[in-house]
Amino acid sequence: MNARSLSMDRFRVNRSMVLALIFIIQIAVTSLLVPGYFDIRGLLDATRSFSEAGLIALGMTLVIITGGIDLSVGALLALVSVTIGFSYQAGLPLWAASMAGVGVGTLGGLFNGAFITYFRLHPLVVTLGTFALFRGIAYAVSDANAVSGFPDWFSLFGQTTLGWFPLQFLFLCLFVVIFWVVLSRCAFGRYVYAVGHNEVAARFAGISTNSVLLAVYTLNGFLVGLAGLIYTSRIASARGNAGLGLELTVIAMVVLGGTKITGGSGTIVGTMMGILILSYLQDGLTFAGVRADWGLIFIGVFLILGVFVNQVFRERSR
Amino acid sequence: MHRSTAMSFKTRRAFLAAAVAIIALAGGAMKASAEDVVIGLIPKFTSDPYFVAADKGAQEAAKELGYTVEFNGPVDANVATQSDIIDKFVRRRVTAIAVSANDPTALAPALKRARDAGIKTLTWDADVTPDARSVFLNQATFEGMGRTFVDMMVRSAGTSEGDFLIVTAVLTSPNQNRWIEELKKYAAERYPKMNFPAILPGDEDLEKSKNVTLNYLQANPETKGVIAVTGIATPGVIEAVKQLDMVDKVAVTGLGVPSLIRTYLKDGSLKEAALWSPIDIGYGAIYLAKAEIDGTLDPKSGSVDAGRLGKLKFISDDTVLLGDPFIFTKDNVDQFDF
Amino acid sequence: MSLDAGSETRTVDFAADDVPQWRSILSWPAAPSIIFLVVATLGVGMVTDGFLTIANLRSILEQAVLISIVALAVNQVILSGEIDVSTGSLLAVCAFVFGNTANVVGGAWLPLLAALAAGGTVGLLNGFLSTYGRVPSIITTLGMLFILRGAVLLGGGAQVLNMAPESRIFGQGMLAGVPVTILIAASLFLVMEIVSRHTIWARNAIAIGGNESAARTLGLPIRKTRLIAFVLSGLCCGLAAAVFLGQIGQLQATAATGFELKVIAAVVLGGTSIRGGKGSNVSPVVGAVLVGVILNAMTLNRVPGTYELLILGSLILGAVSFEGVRQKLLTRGH
Repeated sequence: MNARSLSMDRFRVNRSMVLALIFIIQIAVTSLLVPGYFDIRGLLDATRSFSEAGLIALGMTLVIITGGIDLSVGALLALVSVTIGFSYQAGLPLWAASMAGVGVGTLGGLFNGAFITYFRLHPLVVTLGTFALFRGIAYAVSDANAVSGFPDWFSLFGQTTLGWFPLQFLFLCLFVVIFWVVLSRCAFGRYVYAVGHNEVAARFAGISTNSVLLAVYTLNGFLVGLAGLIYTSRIASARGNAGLGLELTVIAMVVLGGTKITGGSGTIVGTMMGILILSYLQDGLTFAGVRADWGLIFIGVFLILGVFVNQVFRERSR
Repeated sequence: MHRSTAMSFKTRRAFLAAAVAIIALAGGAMKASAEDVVIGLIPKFTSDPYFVAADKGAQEAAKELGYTVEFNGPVDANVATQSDIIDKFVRRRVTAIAVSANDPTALAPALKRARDAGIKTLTWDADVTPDARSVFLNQATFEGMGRTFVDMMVRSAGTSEGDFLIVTAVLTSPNQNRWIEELKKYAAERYPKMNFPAILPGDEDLEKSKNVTLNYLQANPETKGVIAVTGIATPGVIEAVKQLDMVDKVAVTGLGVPSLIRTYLKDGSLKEAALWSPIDIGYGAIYLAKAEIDGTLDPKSGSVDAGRLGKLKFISDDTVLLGDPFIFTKDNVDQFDF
Repeated sequence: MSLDAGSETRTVDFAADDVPQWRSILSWPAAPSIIFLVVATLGVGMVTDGFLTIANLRSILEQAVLISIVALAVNQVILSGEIDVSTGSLLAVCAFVFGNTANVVGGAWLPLLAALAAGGTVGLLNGFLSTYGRVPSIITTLGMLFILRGAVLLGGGAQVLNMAPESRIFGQGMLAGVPVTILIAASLFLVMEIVSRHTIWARNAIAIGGNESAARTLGLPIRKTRLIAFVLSGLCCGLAAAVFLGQIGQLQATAATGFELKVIAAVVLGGTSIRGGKGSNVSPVVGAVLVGVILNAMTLNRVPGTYELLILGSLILGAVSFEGVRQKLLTRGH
């Protein structure tokens, strides 16, 4: 067990290094091919467009390490955004509305977790159901209307920069550090791996697997809540079609970062590289004037390819 | 390991910075000629015959003026993607951005950032809040569309008395809602016995539009006519009426894209439908951008020069009107290739 | 309904063999949904004007046909323990293939072949990646959902396809007094019933979905069986595309967005266990009609379209948690 996890550690470091190298080459190539692309300030500015997805990818990493999946994150983001907008419109102070939004996100995650653990259903089915349910509630509550006209201070979360850094990117970096500590330095992190590696064994080892799963999905919901807050502030409007297809981008980031889709292994550093590579690939393409429709195809291909490479790679290394 | 990565990143960055500087210098030498004018044209979504036709018109104008027009937008009417694309155009330092907005307020922050970077901003087809753009190219006045819908219906149905169904896009589409409002106002004045008991959303989906019409007409067979106020719904509504064998009892009219309604005009299941030219709106948007870039845009003059479209009129300080809606019939529909 | 008994015996549910009467009814997958369907139809009929008319019921059936065709195949995928969420985009792709072929060569049979070929190829790819490629099917088909939609938007976004009447024969008209579309779904159901009863493949699919490790021990061809289920799903999307274009006559690039959710809702509502291994061909059809009844009742009662997703989501969650409760009841009694 010990020797194995050691070699796994070495593998992870290697993998992250490879990904970092790929990222650097990618930026270099794009910069050479697309005039005007290489501009530190512009590249930092681009973080604005993926910080929300990045935040959720951190939570999704934990979810996937436990062997689960959460397809409802895009829909939940819409529900969070609509909650913030419409409770504000209904007269709630905006700070309270924002907290209500984050709260709804957390509750949404808890709902997923409770359903999965109580009925012992596969997360895939539950979150496919809430994928429709959450967005359905968002549409029904908002009647497909948008709310906007937030006070100026609300632009803080999504439109402010600290020096050259958009605030939400610094926020993402902070959470990367927190999640790295939690996952690799805390008992909870070990439980997460244990559940994903072998749930039955984990239960026999005295880990309350249901609590771990519940915590992981709730945490993911909380991150969706934060991301929804940032999104609403960035777009300065709340509407039910927010985050369409977001789940795919997020899952692609995580599996590209080397997290095994069947659970048991994965790292935050890897996910971070997955976030950067996928986001800057999209950024470069759009910057170069490639039609956004290609984005759908690329993400789909990367998702499948990422998992495929992981699976083959692991097969070999075994 | 961390250090070595950082090192290689640094050296690479230095190398890249040098390379980019050279390219930038080379590019900077040729500034300010017409070829350098790049206009970002952003539709609500890219894959739609209507917006593709607008792009066609825009490219035509660009060719005349020696501009480059870059057409890019979201695939699913997503405002966040539109905002991202605006940001990317800003980083590219394009000359002007012309956008058909999915949301009037959500794009304002991004457009203001563009403005701060010295980029001209304008809207076409669907507007944003006035402080985020200089001018809006409006395809048709809301009153004009409302009147046209009612008049076409009365002509097609041969009566102005009874119940008429309205099929719309989504219940909150701003353009459609204004049209319905004006249409009801006009009908109340001119044809007081014209009733509109239901407004059903087809969600911009052909099949959905067909199904809601089918279900409604089955339950309410005494309905005299259906007005489809969005281009995608019109063929769906006609299919529903045809399936029920009610072509002679229920008249259909509304917004119509010629290529979508040609067959129905020919077989008589549709008599009239209205639309402005999407090619012209794209063409006009580029000429508006030109006036903005040249600094010749002046509401006081009352009009703006728009190439083959002649002079377009200002209908307010910051709104330019494309023209009157055009009515398609079986006799003229073949003249249009969009 | 004479096929019910057969459906029951094919379920691999050992718990159901020697339990009291009420439990064995409970263990028959489609029973609760049929009861629910009857209750829902009568209930909606009582409160909604114009619901219980022959014309309306017929149009519900005609609208449910599309879901049924694809759900019958996805049912097999789910039975074998996998999932396919790419059907919405695949239907659109097949419809574009059908439409373009029809515009070039005319007629309906050659375009149908082309659509079947396109659907089958994508299904094969889905199946290959999900089995031999070791990519979980949710990832493969979710990725494919986006890839195919991107392809349709790029390739057909600006295109307007108007179908000539002779190319619409699969979606319109009557044959011997019955709408063609309903005949198509009914024949597919019959074919699937025959396949389920008389082929080793269908038995294997249920065995594999019911207990994969046991199936592996027995040496059943797990990958091949699942691969075939995916190909079937693709083929049915091709067939559904012909019906779809026939019904609607025109195509837009965003057509059938979210269709995959309706299909999955139909399958699980019908009582097929999402864990695999348990269900019958009756399930997806009953589920599809149920989805049709509910959507139709919404329109007739003027429920805004914004509620559609909410209701679909609740249905899926309700159905799977019902399944969860039933499992608990059954295992407790054992």
